[in-house]
Amino acid sequence: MCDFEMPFSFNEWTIGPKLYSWILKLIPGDGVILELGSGEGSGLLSKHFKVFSVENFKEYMIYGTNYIYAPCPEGSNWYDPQLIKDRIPDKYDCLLIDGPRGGENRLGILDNLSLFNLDDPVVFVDDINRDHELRIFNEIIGKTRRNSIIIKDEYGEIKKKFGIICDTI
Amino acid sequence: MVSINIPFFNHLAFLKRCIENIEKYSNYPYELVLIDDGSSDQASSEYAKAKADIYIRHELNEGIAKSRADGVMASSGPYICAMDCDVIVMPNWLSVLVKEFDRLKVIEEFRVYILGSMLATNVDQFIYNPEWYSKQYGVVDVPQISTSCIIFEKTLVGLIGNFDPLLYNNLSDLDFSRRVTTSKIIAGNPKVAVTPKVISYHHGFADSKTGVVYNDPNESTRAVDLLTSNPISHQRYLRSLVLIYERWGHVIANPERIALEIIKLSKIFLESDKWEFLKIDFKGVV
Repeated sequence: MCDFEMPFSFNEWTIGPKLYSWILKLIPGDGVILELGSGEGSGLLSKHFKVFSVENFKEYMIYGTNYIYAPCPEGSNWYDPQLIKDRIPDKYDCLLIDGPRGGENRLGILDNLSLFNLDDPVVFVDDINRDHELRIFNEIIGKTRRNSIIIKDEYGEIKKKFGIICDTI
Repeated sequence: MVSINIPFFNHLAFLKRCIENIEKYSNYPYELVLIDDGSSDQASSEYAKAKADIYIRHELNEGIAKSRADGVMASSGPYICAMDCDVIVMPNWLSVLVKEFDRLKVIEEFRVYILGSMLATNVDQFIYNPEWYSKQYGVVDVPQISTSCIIFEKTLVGLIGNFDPLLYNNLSDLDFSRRVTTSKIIAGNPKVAVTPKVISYHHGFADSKTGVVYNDPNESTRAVDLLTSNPISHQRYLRSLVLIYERWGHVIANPERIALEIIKLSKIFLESDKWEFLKIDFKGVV
């Protein structure tokens, strides 16, 4: 849990309000979330769930979750898989793909899908209005053949979409 | 806000016309929930993804009831309008439907929990003239209703349960509405009704009249047409009929008709060589 209170407002860089409400809807109250990429939203989620955050920048490790520090190795824009492999929890109810920063950098997960359980947890992919994130979403569906949902998350000037891969609603 | 739920399986032309009419003629806040029940036609899926506020994709064809149930669960509500993908709506339909539903749910003698639009059964009758229809018909209290264009509150599923995914095609509509009209739990003499103040046109009627049959093997909206050619559909429909007979045989008008249908379909099932692998489930039925 986050041990300090900070004002929270949804913005372009956080998860959106609908994504937040869908996580609350689909993940049980004592659930475990594994997220790629940490931010203000992580602190919000940690109020409800046990959150493990894979993060490559130390300056973002301030939101009170269980951090897995995994800087990108030289020549790579994705987390060091060796540092993730042994430190992620054995079981998790939710995988939230929202990092690393920079849309193209996220594509690195496609070479490392075997690190994650994609068959049982609910998988959220944020920002699938963008091509790279949409590709990640579609490739995970293609690999798992699980059902999916795409939701518009629009508030103020911000127009985003996120995707959910799950078996039941 | 109304969550308009539309399951579909291919048939881009129908879906497009349905959504274009909704966009053009809806004068009440709504979100569009499109449930793609395993379409093999990528154009339908891509169109729906672009149009939907919430797009649900079943990788396999899971049937209309599961699609409707998922749509309800995903909806923001508080009102759900469950619609078929081959329905055409007319100007101001949504505000009138909501207004009429709000009116009928607070009448002292009864409370309407599900309200349907009146369906025009052929395109020649489909003149948007609610005054004419209202003179011909009042609000019709019905024991069961087709889910071609109906409205209900999302909280209703908390009271009577959701659409039952075990039931195939329109039998899930029958079951859902019968749970309202026979409920001993929900308050206020519960009714299901149809209003003549909203008219919609449903292609399904025209198709069944003209005998037009689609070629998709697991058709969501017209599976009944394909029963004799598709063993999986056949099995699911037969199983649904048995369930409906068990659940509602004591209240429906012609239980004998369902019993005869079960016997007829079971015989087809048992006599067919090519469906050998499925026979075991139904040997006890005939």
